[in-house]
Amino acid sequence: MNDEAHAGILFALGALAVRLGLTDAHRAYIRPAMGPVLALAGAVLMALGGAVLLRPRRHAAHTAVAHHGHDHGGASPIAWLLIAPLLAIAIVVPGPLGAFAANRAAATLPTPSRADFGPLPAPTVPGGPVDLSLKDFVGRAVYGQGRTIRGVPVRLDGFVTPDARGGGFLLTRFIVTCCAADARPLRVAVRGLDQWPGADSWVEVTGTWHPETRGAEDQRPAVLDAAELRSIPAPATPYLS
Amino acid sequence: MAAAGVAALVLRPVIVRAFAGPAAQTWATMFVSLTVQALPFLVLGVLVSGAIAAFVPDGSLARVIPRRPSVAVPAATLAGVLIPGCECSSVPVAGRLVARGAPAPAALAFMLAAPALNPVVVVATAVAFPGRPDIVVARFVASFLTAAAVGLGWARFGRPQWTERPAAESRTADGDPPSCDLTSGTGVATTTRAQRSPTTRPNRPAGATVRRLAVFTATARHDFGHAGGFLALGAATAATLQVFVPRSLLDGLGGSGAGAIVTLGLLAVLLAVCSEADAFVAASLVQFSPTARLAFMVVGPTVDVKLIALQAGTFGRSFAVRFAPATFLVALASAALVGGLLLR
Repeated sequence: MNDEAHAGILFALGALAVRLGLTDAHRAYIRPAMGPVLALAGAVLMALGGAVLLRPRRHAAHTAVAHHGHDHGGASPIAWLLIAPLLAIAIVVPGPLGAFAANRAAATLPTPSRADFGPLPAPTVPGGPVDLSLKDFVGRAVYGQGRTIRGVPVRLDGFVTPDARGGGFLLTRFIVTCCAADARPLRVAVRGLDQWPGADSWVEVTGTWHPETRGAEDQRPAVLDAAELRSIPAPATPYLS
Repeated sequence: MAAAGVAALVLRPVIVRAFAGPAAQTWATMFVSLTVQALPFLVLGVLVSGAIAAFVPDGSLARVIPRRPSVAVPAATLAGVLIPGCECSSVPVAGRLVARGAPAPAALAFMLAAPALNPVVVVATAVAFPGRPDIVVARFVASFLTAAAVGLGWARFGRPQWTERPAAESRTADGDPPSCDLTSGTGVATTTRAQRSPTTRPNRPAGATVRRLAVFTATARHDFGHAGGFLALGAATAATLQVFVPRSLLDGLGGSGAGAIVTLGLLAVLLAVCSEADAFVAASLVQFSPTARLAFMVVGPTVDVKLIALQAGTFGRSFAVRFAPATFLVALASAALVGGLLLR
């Protein structure tokens, strides 16, 4: 590989990293806090590649002569493989993980926290349902044995994953710590609705916890007796942390 | 480059259609995530590597680091604890250290210790396993043992020709011999700069600084292209395994005993989760024994498909085929031993 092609790939990859890092686009892949770091790394790559691309032409020719007789100017053929992430980021633009990935992953539980036993937050509208994250709901249902949510109308959001057992669907969110490769799905089985949108649709479900005690080793998801479902747009930050 | 751009534009609909299905989309998401997550750490690693090539005098490392492996390896492991690094940055740094004359056992111990033992990972493990300080301690001890044992084992059984690659590379990339390409290329850069701004006096120290900067950027560029290519290969492999190996296989295998330890050790190799996140994945694998989950966290930062690719790229294939299996076995044994002693 010649120096200019190598530098061009580095520059392009750096530019894409800067764009990913500065927009919401990186949130489909890594946790939001890493966005600025990614942009900074991209800027370094742009500088490393740009330094070669901006070199005066005469100098480039000169260097080629200087390199003559040596193996290469410092770029190994394996660097061509960097084209793959380049194409994937620029052209495929894969979306956040959805029902397909959730279906393949083992059932998981959130890390237990003190909040699983604490008082519920106040409802957004007085007398209305309490807005909980799926993580909060599952933690309260499993570790807190549902004591804090028994009989309280709650509102959860997530995407639809088909339930193989039928009778409803699995409301799903992923927890991501570093990147989508470590995503763990959290699921709540939604029951009591006649119809619901297809896989990967984002929805907001209002309902109450279906009282049923379970141990942490229990693989079945917690159950929500749903009263109402509303379609919502996909959130800017698709994963919980 | 222009031709490549046109080709990409023409092929765009084909590529987009090929990745329309949910399996291919999930693969692409995993692939991009692994690459993008590793990118800043790899950039940091090649900057350190470039700085070592440019500013550490040849041979000085060999003088500073003790000759005796029984002193050098534990010291290097300890250095790994103090200097935080992700696995993606520690591989190119270790490669450059060896290229600069550091003894391989010490550099390898550092490479294994830095990602597994740093403060960020310790805190992440404590957060992932609340109320279980024994797991945090066990992880630290088992990872320390693994890094030190592999370093000492390499000192005893390793052969210099297995890590020949970086030494040979340094001849072409660093411009160690004064006549080599980069040095001559830099000489040209110095004159060019002098021509462009005739007001700057081209005195000797300034020339040396410019030359060092040129070695720094050229090494960083070279190492990024090299390690990045292998990173892409490793990320593609890990994404493929994540999408196409049925997870139900694993659910059936849960439990305890030696089988569970080996299963989670292998899973760590296949998933290639980074060391700051692996504790959370381990914590979520509730159907396995604590010792098996410890094995997942001890193996992960030292051996996985992404790292094997990076190590093969940095030290050569004959290194990787020996180092990865040996490290895997040492990490499993260390996790089993420490888990048996410390965890219930």
